[in-house]
Amino acid sequence: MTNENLLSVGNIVRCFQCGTCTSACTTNSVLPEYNPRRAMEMILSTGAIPTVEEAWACATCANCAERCPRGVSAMEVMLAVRSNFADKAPEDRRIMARNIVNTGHAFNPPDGLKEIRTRLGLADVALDDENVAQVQAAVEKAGLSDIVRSTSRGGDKR
Amino acid sequence: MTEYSLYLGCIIPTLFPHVERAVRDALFGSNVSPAEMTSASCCAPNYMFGLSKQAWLALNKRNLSLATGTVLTACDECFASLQDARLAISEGGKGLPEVKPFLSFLSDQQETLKKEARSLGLRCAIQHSCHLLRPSKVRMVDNPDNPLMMKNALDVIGCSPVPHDEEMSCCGGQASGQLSPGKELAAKKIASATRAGADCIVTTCAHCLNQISRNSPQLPVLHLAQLYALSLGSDPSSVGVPNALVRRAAGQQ
Repeated sequence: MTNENLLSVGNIVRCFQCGTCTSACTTNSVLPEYNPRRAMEMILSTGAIPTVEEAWACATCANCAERCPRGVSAMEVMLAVRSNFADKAPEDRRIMARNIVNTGHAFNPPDGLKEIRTRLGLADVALDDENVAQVQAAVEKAGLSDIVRSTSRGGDKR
Repeated sequence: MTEYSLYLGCIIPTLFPHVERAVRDALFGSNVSPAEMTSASCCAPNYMFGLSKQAWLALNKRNLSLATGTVLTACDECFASLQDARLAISEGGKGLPEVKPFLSFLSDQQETLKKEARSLGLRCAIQHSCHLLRPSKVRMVDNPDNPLMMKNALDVIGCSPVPHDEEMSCCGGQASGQLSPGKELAAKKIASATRAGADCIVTTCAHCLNQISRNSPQLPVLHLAQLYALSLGSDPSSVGVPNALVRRAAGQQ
């Protein structure tokens, strides 16, 4: 995604730099160097794109979008930045994406889950092959499979 | 009578099966028998993956097509993801099923549940999940500055909300990567609930549950459905309520 595309996300062009987003920001409350107002300023004035680390530090609490007097959503801008760097997403998130493509679910069942579920009177949670194939067909066109193929084969659990 | 399809997502069935039991017991106690959505996939919240908006949309188009009646979610993140997808697929979600979070469902069923519920007398620190409340113009569930639904829902089962400093703050579960403030935010939340003298932290979001419970070795963290199931007479061990809480609830009788 180019800067030009970012300018079409989350009403960013309406930002008048009041800093309400930063005052309301969850991440900023414990990580002062994460500053959504400054990120919006950089995008608007110099065209610089926030780093992938910054984009994933957003807790997506939506306080910025809730409070902004101009209807801007810094959160949506950060989400757009994330997809811009999809191949550099944190490994835990890429593994979840890979699990979805492979099984339909983001989390792999821990050992003994089937027995626990049986004891609780719950049916097996795994999708059958036909449903997994449907999920794969749905995401194949959207490019998620490419991201998953580029994910290193790490551990499966979060 | 509203027809429901139960969407459980993936965190509850895989990581918290006792919560699934509790959700099903609470539905049974409300005399509601939802249709199953066992063919559904993860809702792939765009907040969480941020990898491909198109993939998120494609998955949820499929998920919504599997529902009959209103989609009832047991996790607030699933609620937000499916609700956003619904609105992204068609203007105002026209022609698509409504999506309802568990807390709104309990609120609708209040009169029925009041007759069946036993008072538990527990002191609960509420974890209001971000994605249930905000952006409030989209979610339209509760007042984002003074949410009351969780408090009312606790009142039905004789539990009292314990005000605490971090009641309105985010659990940090959706941040990731090198700069992630997740652990620190969870620690602040747990410390604040502990200081306030709560017996447990209670939430309706599986992501909050996962994030806070992983970081809370002492203070129990529960899904609201677990307290409802206990109140309606479920076996505490099958719905995952710790013994200490069961004893405390029994002492109130």
